[in-house]
Amino acid sequence: MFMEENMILQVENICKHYQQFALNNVSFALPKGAIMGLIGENGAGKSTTMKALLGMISLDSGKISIFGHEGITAQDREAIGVVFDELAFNQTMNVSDIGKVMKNVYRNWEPEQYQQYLEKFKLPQKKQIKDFSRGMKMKLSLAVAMSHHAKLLILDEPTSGLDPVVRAEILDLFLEFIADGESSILVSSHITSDLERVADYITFVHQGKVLMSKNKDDILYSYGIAKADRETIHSLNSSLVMKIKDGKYDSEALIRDKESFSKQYPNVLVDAISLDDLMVMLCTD
Amino acid sequence: MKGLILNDLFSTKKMLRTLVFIILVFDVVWGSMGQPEAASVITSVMCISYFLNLFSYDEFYRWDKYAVILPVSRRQIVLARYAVTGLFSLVSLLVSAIYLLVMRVPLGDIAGILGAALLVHLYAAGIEIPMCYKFGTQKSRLLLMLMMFIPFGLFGGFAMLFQQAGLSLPTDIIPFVIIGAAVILGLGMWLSIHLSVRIVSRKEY
Amino acid sequence: MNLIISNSSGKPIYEQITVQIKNSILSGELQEGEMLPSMRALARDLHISVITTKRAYEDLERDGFVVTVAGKGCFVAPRNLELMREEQRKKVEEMLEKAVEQAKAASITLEELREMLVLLYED
Repeated sequence: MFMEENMILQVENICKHYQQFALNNVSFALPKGAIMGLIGENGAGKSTTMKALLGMISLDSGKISIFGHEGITAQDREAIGVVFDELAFNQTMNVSDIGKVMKNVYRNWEPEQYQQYLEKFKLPQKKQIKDFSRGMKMKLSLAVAMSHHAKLLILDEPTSGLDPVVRAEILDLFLEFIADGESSILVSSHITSDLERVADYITFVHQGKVLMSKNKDDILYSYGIAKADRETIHSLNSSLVMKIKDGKYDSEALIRDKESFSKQYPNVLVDAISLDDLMVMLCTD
Repeated sequence: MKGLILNDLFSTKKMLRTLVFIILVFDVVWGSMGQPEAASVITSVMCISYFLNLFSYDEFYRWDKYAVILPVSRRQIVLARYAVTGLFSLVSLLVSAIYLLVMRVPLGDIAGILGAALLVHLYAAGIEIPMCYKFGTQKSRLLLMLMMFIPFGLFGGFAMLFQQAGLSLPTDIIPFVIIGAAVILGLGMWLSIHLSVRIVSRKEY
Repeated sequence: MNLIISNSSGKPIYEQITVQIKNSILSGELQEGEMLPSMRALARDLHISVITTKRAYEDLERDGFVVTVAGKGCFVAPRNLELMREEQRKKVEEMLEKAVEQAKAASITLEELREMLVLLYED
């Protein structure tokens, strides 16, 4: 679908086995200038996938290319901004301490840019971070991730536990970040409505496997849910039906190409789908 | 690496203040009771807690996990930790030296106390740092206690044996014992760093 | 230019954008040669994904309403009367289709419908 040189990140068939859990042949690709949402329920493998990308864990098999080459170097790390779900700094420090530390960690650190973010986010200079709210901590993590000319942001659940106003601010920041057309964001979340807005691609992870990795609009506007009585749904004889779920009073079928389906079955109601609906459909038995 | 060292120093600002306060109290109280040597020995031992606290902070705030995604090698992460520990040890010895000088302790005794303190620091750090990387601080703190008892127990036991046999320790071999111990500890330190780098390089976060 | 995006209209967002931009062009609000915002700027300002604005611009280009000049941006295409007439015709047809549907449902005959149309048109 895409030329390889347009990819900032390519993941091919990575596997990692743990006692209780395994990543199983995870593959996806993130183009330049795009936002990809990594969606899945808690424990689906989103964080493990991100750890693998960042070289925090070793792989049993598979291949990861970042910035067009395999393996992650210190130079690559200069151009990657990372946010974990929990703030990772020693919270007895204040934001200006962190600025001083990062200035000596990243070669491309931009003190002015960092300062701008601090002001924009209204983060106090001298207060200990542990007294910050969760939203402020997340903003601080983002400020650090975005103040060293990163080309790729890897963000683990950056919006969870935040109020809608802060979430909206952060989502706008994402759109600004990719506006140069060169930088990309991989962001995991179980709040799918956030991703429904800003993500260009959606990758669904479930039990360590990728169920789907697609252009978001293709998902939202071509998938649908057919709803009818149990008999009607079960009598559907179409390759477009991907999954059937029975309720107490009705049944639902996940439809792949709702336009074609409606031509085939004009009398069956087909609802538009949200990423949440899709997640529930795909992840429940 | 400078960034990592700064991070350790900034992280411990508050703890340092507390530590300095406690040492000050010890030094003043014991000093006024005419036992500055004892104060110095006790405070030197207390200083060992510094690097253990660095590891506790790392674990508590998950900095250890974050450090590996920064543009620094895992080797640098380890070396920075040893550097900060060494720096702190030196500063604490320097402070001890000044204190003992001010309290007019004989120079020979000062050298003895500082030498012993240095050996204890090297011994503790050399064994504990790789332990912390491998097993975490909880288990390592317990191990440290054990590790401290072994040499002191041995020395104490030997001293008792000597006494019971009616022998006194020949004082002129003490310098050789110290030099020998220093060489062994120096080698041990090198091994310790090597081991820590190995552990951290293979660690999964 | 105004762009009003509804999340609950059921219409794909890219379609909402194309329809509104087409209308602005047809009404003359957007003049020939005028530059449109870049798709990335538009995405940022509408708080939506780039893939959506990209699709909208691609559709506009396919329908001949805009032209993209590589490295420069996206511009309103020279007016093509034929094309615009076609576009308008399609719209009228759509509306008539709805009227016909409604008429059939109410068993209004073709004759009656034709009479109505003549009356309305000559009004």
